[in-house]
Amino acid sequence: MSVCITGMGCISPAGINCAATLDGLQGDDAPGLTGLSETGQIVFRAPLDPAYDSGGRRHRSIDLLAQALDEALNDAGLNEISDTSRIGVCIGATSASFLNDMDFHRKLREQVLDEASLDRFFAGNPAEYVKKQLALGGPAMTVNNACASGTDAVGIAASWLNAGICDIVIAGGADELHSVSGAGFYSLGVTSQHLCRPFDRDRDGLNLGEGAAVLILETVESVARRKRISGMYVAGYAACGDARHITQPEPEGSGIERAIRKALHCAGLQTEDTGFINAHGTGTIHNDLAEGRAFARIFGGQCPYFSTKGKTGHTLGAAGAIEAVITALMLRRQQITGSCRYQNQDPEIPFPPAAAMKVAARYALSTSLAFGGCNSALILKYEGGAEQ
Amino acid sequence: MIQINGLGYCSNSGSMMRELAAAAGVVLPVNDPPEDGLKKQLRGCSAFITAGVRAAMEALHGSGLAGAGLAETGIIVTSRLGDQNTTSEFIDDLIDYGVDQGSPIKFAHSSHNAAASYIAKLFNICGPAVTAVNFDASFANGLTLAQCWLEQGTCDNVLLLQIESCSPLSEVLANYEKGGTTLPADTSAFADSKAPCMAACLLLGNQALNMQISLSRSAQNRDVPAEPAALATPLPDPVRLISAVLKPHNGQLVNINGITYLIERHGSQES
Repeated sequence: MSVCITGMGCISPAGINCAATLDGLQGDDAPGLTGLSETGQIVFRAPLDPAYDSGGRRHRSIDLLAQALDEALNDAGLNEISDTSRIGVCIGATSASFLNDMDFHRKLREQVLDEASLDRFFAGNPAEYVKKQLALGGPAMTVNNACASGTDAVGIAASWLNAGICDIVIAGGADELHSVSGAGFYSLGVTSQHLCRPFDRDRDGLNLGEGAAVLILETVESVARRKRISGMYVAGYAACGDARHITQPEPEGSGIERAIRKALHCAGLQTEDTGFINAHGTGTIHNDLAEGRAFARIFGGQCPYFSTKGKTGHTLGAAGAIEAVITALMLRRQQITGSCRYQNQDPEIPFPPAAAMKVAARYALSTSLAFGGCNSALILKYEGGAEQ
Repeated sequence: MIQINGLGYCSNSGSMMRELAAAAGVVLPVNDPPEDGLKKQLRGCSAFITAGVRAAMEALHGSGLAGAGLAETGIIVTSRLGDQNTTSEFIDDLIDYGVDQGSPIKFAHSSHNAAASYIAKLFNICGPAVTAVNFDASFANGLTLAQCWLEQGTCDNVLLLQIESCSPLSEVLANYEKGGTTLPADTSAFADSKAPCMAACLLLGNQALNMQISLSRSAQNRDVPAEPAALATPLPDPVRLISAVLKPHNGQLVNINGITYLIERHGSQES
């Protein structure tokens, strides 16, 4: 598997675009738009550009996606696409695929059909939104694999390119802070009233966030035809199921371990080729334990790993795509951030996460774990020097 | 080429395959999969999940795939609307009791990929699982991805499903898509995760699993019916495909567990 990445766009609580997101990952302080959910849990809001704010006419997920999409298309030199017949789109999401407008349901019980809400719903499927906006001729798929959706969307897009179905695929993820998903995660007892501390001994839950990221994936032939240069590639991807529990990961991390080993095999790599790991690292007891144990068995403490969710929050369906973009940006800069607010080693996690440092990495891994026992691993490859 | 090694068409209450076959002009032998423990395993699950599990079980029944043979199978669940009824039930609790009183079980089961999760858990399937919800080309997207996985060696077999609800809420949504804005007389108890659902499942693979397969039959180039079989269904695309597979050939009865049908590669994304 070798698919070029020719453009990226990102909006997250850490920053309004790719560059700002990378810069915003430094330090241990809270991101700029930190607030409280209706259930009193800390949440991180993304700094949406007012030019993309529809004021509620569209789902906020679509507003966020539109902003990341424009940045990615600009980056890829695809602002004016003449032939869209072989361009597909694959976007991961959670909230945008649900009819989860509480006002709609409240009115429905009172025998009132809220047409504005239904219009938003039917126009709010993220992949179909992009397909219609750009009049794309290729497939359009919205992936609903819960928190692994963004990673899986990138992996599926790469498989379409390798199969010759498309020349270019717009891949990514988008999700908004939503009262229903907020209430759901609160009901599960996995959100925190404090700023989250992924992989720390005293971690007590996740902070929900919102955002979107888009990666323009392209075949080598298409890149050559468009006379573009790409030094970033999707080198490997794999997904494996736990077949165990509907919400919790397998405690030893056997599912994510198999996904990582398969992704390494897919990329033709040995474990020592991996320069760093951008972990799912939600800050929940179970996720971080499963991941930390899996990393230890595979890499034996030799590969630096960290989580960026202390700055982005858990952006659910967007998380995998946002973290893929961050992984690529760190590969370019040859520098990683540490795990935000990490202080004390969990004695049950064999090796601690890395501190911020310079790296000499050609390959990097990004992982996602999700409801349903979904585990996904994505490997990016960079050919080029360090950017400043 | 992709082989079809099993078919399933179920409601959450049981198999609908014989009704579908009858509509296609075929009488199928009685050969239902055993339901040992299924009721217990699906206790508390929504009709959406139950229909999906039943259809997967029917497609797997008699395929020869079980236990370790299933471990690396892929699962693709497609839907136009997903499990909106369980979401509605969760939201009703929030409306009635407050946003801090949501049910964790209802929330976990409202995730669109909960059906794939149950299929993986109950059949011990550890391969890739993708759930995709799209208004347009939902099932065709699933076929395209299954084809990619099989051709690229991601997995040897794929369970491809489409699951849809037949609930009053789904009818309101379908009606609205056609421009209708009328509501049923009583919408006070609209959220019902037990409202009927339907699921279709194809077990796809690179190899023929069942040696009862007649090569002459599998080589037949059959047309997919332009219209779904004469059967009301929320699953027109997979039903068209299953109907084409079931179409009588030389007057012979079809052994539902012995069907292999070749899907030829196409560029239109339509089955």
